[in-house]
Amino acid sequence: MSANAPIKAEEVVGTKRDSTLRFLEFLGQELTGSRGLAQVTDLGTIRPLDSILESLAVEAYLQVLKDPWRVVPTRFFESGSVL
Amino acid sequence: MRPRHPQRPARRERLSDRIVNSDLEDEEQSRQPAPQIRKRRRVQEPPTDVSPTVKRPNLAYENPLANSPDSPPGSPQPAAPSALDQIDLELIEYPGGVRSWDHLKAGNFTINVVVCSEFTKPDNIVKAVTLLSQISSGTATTVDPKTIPSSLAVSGTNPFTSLLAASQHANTHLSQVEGAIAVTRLKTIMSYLVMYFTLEYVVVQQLKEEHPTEGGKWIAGMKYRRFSEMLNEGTGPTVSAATLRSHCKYGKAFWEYGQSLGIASLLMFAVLDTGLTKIGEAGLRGVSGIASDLTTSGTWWGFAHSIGPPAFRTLFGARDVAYKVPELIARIRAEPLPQSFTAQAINAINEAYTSTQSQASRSSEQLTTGPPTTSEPDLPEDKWQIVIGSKVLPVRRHPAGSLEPAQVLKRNLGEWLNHTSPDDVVQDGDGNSIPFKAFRTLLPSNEISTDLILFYVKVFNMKAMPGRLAVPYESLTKHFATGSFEKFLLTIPKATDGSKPIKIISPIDLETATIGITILPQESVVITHNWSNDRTLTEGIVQVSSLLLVVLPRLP
Repeated sequence: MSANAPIKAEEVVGTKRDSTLRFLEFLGQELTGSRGLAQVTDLGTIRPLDSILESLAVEAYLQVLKDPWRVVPTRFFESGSVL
Repeated sequence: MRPRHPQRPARRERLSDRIVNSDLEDEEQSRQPAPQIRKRRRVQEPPTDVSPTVKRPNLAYENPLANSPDSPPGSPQPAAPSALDQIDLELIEYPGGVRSWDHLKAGNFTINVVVCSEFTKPDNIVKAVTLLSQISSGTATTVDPKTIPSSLAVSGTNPFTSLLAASQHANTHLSQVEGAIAVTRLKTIMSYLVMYFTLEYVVVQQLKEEHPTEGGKWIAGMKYRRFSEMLNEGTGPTVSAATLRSHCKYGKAFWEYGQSLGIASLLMFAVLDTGLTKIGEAGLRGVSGIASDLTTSGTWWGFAHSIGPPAFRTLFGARDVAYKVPELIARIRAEPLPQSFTAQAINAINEAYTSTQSQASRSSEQLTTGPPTTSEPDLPEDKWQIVIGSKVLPVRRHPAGSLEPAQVLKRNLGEWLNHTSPDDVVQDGDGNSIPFKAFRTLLPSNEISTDLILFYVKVFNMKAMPGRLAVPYESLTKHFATGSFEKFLLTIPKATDGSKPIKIISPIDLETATIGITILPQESVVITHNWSNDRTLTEGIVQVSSLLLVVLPRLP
């Protein structure tokens, strides 16, 4: 069976960029069972696009702490994780 | 590839009902206010032994729009205003002497071993929040209603009488305690604390008032005997001064642990197998150092920082909020965390969360609805205190409470995106390389690049609940084309109950929009999500969905 998911009127966007942001928000919710990874918001609430963008940017920053312009002692990241 | 399932009417009706119900819910939910954007995030940065002025670039924020039009060629081009310009991440700068937490394992200090091997285990974290939920909701008191409450009853009109009564209950409990179940252990810890508080802030105070000419040494020599005499006047079991001395010593130790490692550490001590007296006997040497080192563990950071407020409220405060386990798990997952926390810990907590949800209901859809959130805000940190008689004990929140302002750096997200060279190549926590220019597409007016979408697909897959997976559309079609979709599905991690893949999410990159596809292999259902206002896409989307449906394998 195939179906189009009901999209709330407030979620509808006008540009491809914004639809991609909506998809990335949806992706995080569906895979992790929460509304976003860096921020949990009220369920069912339509998140403003700026809020989605913020969460994505925070997530990106957290993921690249190991970036080349910032020197981190390698021992901290031995074997790729401290866990 | 196998043909799709013959559709059963019941399933079709169910999906239809779901859509109708969703529409109704949508109307209700759309009336809710939009969430506030938090302008600041507090995240953990790994420790460094090197001065930041040497190792880090100058990150003083400069508004790109403020650049002079006479800027020399090659200088950064002004970017459009962005919401990201308003977001400052707060980063922690550890002193040079702080070691990474796993360094502690090398020590011989007993408490080091306990802390390192047990405090950061996700299953212990889940046990700890479960215990907190039980205590906060009152269900734990049904275990043994005769023992003292697990919160301190020190707010009576006569604090001495109140504390003495609590101590008598505490003494009763300590004489009866058996086993090592978490609730009993927590009550035992709280009993030790009550003993310690009563001794130091009531008994000692009374001795000073009765014998104003005596010195501290005399008071110290008398206090246990006096405390013993007070308790033995009651109807509970008698207790010797020597036993009281041990109880109070343990109480002092756990209080110091709670202050240094965070109130949430008391929960963790309660769920461990390590004997409480052994912990109490370990002494306090090096606790503050352990606390600093432990904060370098992202797992502990997330737990201590997010569970601290409800733990304080439940154990030392009003205990007027019943916290549910999913809500507490969501608090941990909502913490802005370093990459070191992501893969293993998040997955482990997700599995525990999934298991918790599954026990309540076998409906996998319930997972997507997430936990409820409490309407009660946390107490501000300046109100974390315990009043004992005339003494007010401030309670520190770990780990942020022990930070000096100089240890906190702020990094502006807009500046980070604007000023990092687009030619830099960075790596995510899994070692995948990505050009920084992909991140710059987060800035306004840029299309989110395919590289960035793939980046988030990988990131989210690392944190995904078992049985859920995101797949780039190109990969999906490749699997279809080669007829290997069934094999592909076998590679997807199974859910905790051993069930087959639940959900596959994939984006479709169209010229004017990004469309989402959800595949539910077990149910032979494909759902498309079109957030764009371009309704001309509908027909094509349905065709794509139907095509996907045809090749869905028949799964048992």
